[in-house]
Amino acid sequence: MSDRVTDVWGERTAFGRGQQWPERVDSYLTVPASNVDRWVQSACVLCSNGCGIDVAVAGDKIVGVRGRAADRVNRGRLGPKGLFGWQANHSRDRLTRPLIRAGGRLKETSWDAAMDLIVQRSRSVMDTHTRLAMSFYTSGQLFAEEYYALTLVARGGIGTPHLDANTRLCTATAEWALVESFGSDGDPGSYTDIDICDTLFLVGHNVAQTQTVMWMRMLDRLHGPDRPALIVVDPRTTPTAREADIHLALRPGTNVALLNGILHELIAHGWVDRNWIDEHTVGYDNLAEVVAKYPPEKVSDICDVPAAQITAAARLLGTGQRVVSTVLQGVYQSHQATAAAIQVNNVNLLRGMIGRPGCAVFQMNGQPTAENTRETGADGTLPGYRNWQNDDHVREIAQAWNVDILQIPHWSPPTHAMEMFRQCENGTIRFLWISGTNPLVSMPELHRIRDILRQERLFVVVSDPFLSETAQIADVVLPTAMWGEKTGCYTNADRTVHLSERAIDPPGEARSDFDIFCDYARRMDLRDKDGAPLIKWTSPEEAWDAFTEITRGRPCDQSALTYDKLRGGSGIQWPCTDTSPQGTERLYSDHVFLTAPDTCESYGHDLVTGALNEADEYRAHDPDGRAMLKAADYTSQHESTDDDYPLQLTTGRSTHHWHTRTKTQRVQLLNATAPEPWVELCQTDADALGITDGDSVRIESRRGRIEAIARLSQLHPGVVFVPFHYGYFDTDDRRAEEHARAANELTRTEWDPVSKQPIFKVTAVRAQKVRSRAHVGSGRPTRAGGIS
Amino acid sequence: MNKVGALMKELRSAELRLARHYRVVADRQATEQDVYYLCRTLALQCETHADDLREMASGFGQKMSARQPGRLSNTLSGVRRRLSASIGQRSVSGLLLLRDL
Repeated sequence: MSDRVTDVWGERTAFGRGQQWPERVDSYLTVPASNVDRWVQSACVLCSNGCGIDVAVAGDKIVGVRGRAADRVNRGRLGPKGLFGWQANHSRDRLTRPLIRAGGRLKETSWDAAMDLIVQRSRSVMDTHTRLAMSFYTSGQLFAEEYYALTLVARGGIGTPHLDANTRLCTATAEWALVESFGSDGDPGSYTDIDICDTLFLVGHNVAQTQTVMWMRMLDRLHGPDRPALIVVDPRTTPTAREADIHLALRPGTNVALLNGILHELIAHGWVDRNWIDEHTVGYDNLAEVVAKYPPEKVSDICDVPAAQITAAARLLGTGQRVVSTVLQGVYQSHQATAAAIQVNNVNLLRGMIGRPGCAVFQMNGQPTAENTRETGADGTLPGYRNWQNDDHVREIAQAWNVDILQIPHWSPPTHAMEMFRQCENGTIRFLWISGTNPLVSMPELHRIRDILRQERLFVVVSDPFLSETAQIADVVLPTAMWGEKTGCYTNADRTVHLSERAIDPPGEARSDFDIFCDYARRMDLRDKDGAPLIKWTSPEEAWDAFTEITRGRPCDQSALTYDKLRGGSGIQWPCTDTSPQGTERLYSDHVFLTAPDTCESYGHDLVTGALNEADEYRAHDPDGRAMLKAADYTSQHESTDDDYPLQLTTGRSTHHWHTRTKTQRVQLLNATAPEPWVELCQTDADALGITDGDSVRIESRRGRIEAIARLSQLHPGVVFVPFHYGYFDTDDRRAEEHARAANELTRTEWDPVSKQPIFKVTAVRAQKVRSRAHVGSGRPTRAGGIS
Repeated sequence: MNKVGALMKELRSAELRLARHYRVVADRQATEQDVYYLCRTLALQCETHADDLREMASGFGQKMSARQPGRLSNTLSGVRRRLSASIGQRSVSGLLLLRDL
């Protein structure tokens, strides 16, 4: 099976339009099958696809995995990370005891001592600086029950507006693009739409590498009868782009211009459904007026894409009968993120292609449980897609939690992660609890994040299974259980909920984040308004039932979804209610959107400035169940290239690594494919700089510099690519000391005005050769089967 | 020269004045990144308007010279940004933000 490291997508099981995707069961066992004691139901957490998985256990160890044939998401398949990633659970360097900083060093301690210190510091910070000095920054990889417990603690117990998740960096734009167009978060489509569509439009979504199993599904259609047309928008010639009928290799940072050009052509050629638009949308005239300014020739100049290609892409999108569009980081982490993501929604809306089989737009997720931060309110929203500007919504939460409505901060927008770090920087926030994420590698402009987190006046708690870069600088480190060692639910990008059962015990004294947050609430003596304990449950299942109850009547209604229902069989798509007990395949099948003022999750933003609309303004233009076509002009980015920094850096992901590699670095099979970072340049730029494949190259921006090995590949001239996965926990002292490895040394602190997602994909840099290939020696990354 | 052209000239200098103000505030608040980038977005918007007005005004017999970045303002801009960065970790930066808002 180890060939599946290089054979990323495995054998084709081609199928035609409307047929069921054939089963193919992938598995990897490190012991003979007869030695397996039991199989435990779960789902993969190493990308956002959400593949059903069975975990093989022998004794007290995980010994392998197998894809669940019955599961609607993967039909038995697994990608390389799913097949091999579980081995990280058994790493020898797992944290097994709490650590406290004493005399400048982290020392092992007991849970009582660690928790007491956290509680004591929480109290003293709240006494001196009020609850507004308390903040919580969580993950995109915990379970729904854990996020919900954290939300209850932070919002209902502490009462702080400073709660956000790392999903701000990966999926915030998906959320806000959906809210701005449809009135509420929630991806409308179903993965089965891929089985039925005749046109696939992938915008900034390198699915072949980021969601390998979804790409298997697409590849099986592309290699089967009635191949759908494939249009890919990406400055790099990725494995996804290589399969495309039309690859629009645009200049980074110009997504809005390109999409406006495509919308221009749809309207100019009459490839729009005017009756449907008039009945089910608002804002058409304004959109038509704005995109009229973007004829293909003008767009061609901005994006450096041939005008004929833009028209050809629009023709495919305009004449296809079943169009599935998908969007990911190429849009979300780029300039004008939300404005661009909304224009993809507009493509489907202009064609009336939503809520029907084979017609969908997917604002994809980055992380496996990102969707759950959005539903539980751990990402700076309120639970159940509620609108913080709507007092009735806030009151519903206050009632469910039995707390005073004023306890739940809703006098101003919840603090987003970037703002939270700013408030840590200026001393407003004095307590920061980071759970299951690694901002010292994943945040932009790392020298700044290091300065912020190292301040004496800021108390930093980190919960993590490993001593990550961030854990190393914490005041208290709590060892946590990983996937497979705890029970809980999570939801993927087509609203499929899976239950993941505890297969083995966590090592040593490690505890689940759920237990830790509940313990914190107890020790803080957080109570409801009648004096009863704020957290009334003790098990994840009780937390799940409380969470699903709070979703009742909301768009993400999961009130009929129980652990029992999720056991056995396949994942279930919400809404799952008493009237649709088996789940719901598509949202908006009646073409009524969630834009009514009493329902909507937000009154929306100005796309240029991010200014919030007020309730009265929104009611005055009540879209009343119709989707909103919001237009945006292209604007040039704030940091342009110049003579000193002539190249544009875009950061991204690779097939075999996940996030900041805390797990995948510890899996030998995966790590060996790319143990060191690299920088991709095109031949023309490399020639001009005298760089050849394998040379060691220095990349420098206005904020920092790194060194990496050059790989020549096909990307838009003037663009360089560096994977963002690499930090310092596994590198030599020199590079750790000089901070010369992480891509985010180079990026800057700027975010999208609407989604507040940081910009990672457009940074001006220069490149310079430091050592030629012959002198680089070992550590050079190997290439895995056609993956670059 | 007619009145429309003169009006456009006046409007253009107002846009440019506003743009300058935005850029000054941006530099002063360089560590408040949302203020910094938003002010620059708005400054750019004003400058685009100004350029459009200049072009339109020429149709009304009103000739205006193109915008040019001044060396002094570039230097001052750098000084303001460094000042902003130097107090970025202090709480007084919040009061200064209040003033600029």
